[in-house]
Amino acid sequence: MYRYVIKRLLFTIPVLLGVTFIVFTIMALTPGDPGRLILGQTARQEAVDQLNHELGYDQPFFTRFFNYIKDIVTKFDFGVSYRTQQPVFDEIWARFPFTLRLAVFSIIFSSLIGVSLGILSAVKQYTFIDTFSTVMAMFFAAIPGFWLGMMLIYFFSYKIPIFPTHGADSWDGFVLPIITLTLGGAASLLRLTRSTMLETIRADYIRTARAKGASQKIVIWRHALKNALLPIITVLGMQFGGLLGGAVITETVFAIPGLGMHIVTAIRQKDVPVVMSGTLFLAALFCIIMLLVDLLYAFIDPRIRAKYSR
Amino acid sequence: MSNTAAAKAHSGKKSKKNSQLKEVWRRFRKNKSAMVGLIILILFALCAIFADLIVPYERGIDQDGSVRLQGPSAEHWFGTDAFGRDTFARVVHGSRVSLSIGFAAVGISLILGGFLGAAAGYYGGRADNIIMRIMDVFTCVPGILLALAIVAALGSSMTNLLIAVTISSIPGFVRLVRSSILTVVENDFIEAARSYGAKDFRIITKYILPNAIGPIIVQATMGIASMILSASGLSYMGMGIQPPRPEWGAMLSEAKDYMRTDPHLLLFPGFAILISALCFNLVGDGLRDALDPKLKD
Repeated sequence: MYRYVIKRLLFTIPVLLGVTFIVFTIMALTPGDPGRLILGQTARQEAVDQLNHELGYDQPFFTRFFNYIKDIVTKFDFGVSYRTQQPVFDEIWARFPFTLRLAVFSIIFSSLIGVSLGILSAVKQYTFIDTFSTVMAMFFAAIPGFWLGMMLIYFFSYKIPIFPTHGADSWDGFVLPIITLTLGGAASLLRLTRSTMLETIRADYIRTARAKGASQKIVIWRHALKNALLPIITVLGMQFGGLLGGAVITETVFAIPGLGMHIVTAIRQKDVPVVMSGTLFLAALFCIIMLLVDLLYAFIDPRIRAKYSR
Repeated sequence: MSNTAAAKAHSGKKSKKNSQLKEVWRRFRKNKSAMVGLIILILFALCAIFADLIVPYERGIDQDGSVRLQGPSAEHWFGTDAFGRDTFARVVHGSRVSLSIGFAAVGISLILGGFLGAAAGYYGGRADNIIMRIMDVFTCVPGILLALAIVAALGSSMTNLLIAVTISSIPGFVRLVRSSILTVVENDFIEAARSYGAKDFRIITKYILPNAIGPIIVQATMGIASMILSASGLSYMGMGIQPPRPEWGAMLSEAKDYMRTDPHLLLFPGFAILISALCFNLVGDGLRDALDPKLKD
């Protein structure tokens, strides 16, 4: 088991190197240079060139790339923001709690709603509750998140002023964005849970369990759900990883100063160190989450546990 | 003699294929929600193709200060925006952008993802390892951030928006094609084809793909919905279609400042995105049931 974890952690190194390379390449293709960005539009060209030279920006692409990697590996130095001249991780730590709060709450609510309604509509297939939940899920899976957010603002901030339209100063600013993210996530989880549960319920071992006289509760919770859980957990993990970086649009609608919005601002301004460290941070988190998901597999399924310990 | 027999066998195969398609269509047609979705999609497509006949493009572009921010009326069915442009014209012409990006992005990722996924699934071993590790790298970066960075690097235009949404959706298609092929490749009839010396290309296109195509078609149909959603999201962030060209996401972004007083600006483009994405999902669901008779009770 430990060997498996260590092997997986080592595997993330080439993946993160790949991420670094891709993002570094994209950022190198983006027009603009750091000297001009730091000194401003009015600065003299000589001063800009001088600063670019000091930052090593006049060197060839691969030299710059290897220097960047070298600084990270040898000095654990991710650079300073071109715009604020602060170490990049200062800002990331300041922004991350907002994003984490959104992601954690919406993943909790969407899994509670999505998985439980998914089980319910599979068990009571073709009843009113099944039709109702699948129709709702269809609907919310097709709603663009930013539009849902704007509609919520219209109804619950303007028509009936309960929640603020934007801002992250108090807890109530988080209610509408969390609802926005929850509904979208719950919809896809519901569809997935329903279809995997339906598949599992038809399996032979379920018939066996019923034949030996197990109660409906035991059959559903112990025999069916445990077997249907694996794909659900994978999607939950991917959704959580996606929420940490992909909630950008929702963060924009509600003006929540999260990590995603921070990276987007940096992309627009070509603040390369911020974009690089932000995406690397998110990619590393994603890898760790997916590793935890795989370990959770082993916890749930003894067959997989046996495979890992080999 | 042998020629005619072969021809007969060939025509027999063809008619069998036709009857299979007919069978799928018959099952699909019974699914009411999928049929409704298909009909609405056809209407949307007609709207996009004949947009100029329905309402002239200029009505959605030319600014007219005298009719700013009007609600829906006989003259302006969906009202007008802050520049006095006709929202109906903008929604109708916006469908061109959304639908063509949806279809093109799925088409390209299907070809590239299909090629890579087929290679990974069929050859296995080192090819599989290399392709899938590269896909892992792309999966780790949040798709929307990757797409935003690509548009920032290449500049905002329809082509670059298309490139951005396509790149971030390829890994999903590679994985799907690979796994569908893995389920087929173990079968005895593949071994048989190999034993009489069929070439890899022929085995993949003639024997594997037709047997693995079901889930791929379903995923592609639903993929169009998610492409429409992400393309409109990027335009909403100001990193897609540039004004004054009408696009649903960009229209919603413009509506932001006026939504308190003029919610109609919010309503129509939003519904257009919602309904088109919903219908692609409905058709995808219907296709899944129609293509896989096992799922039918």
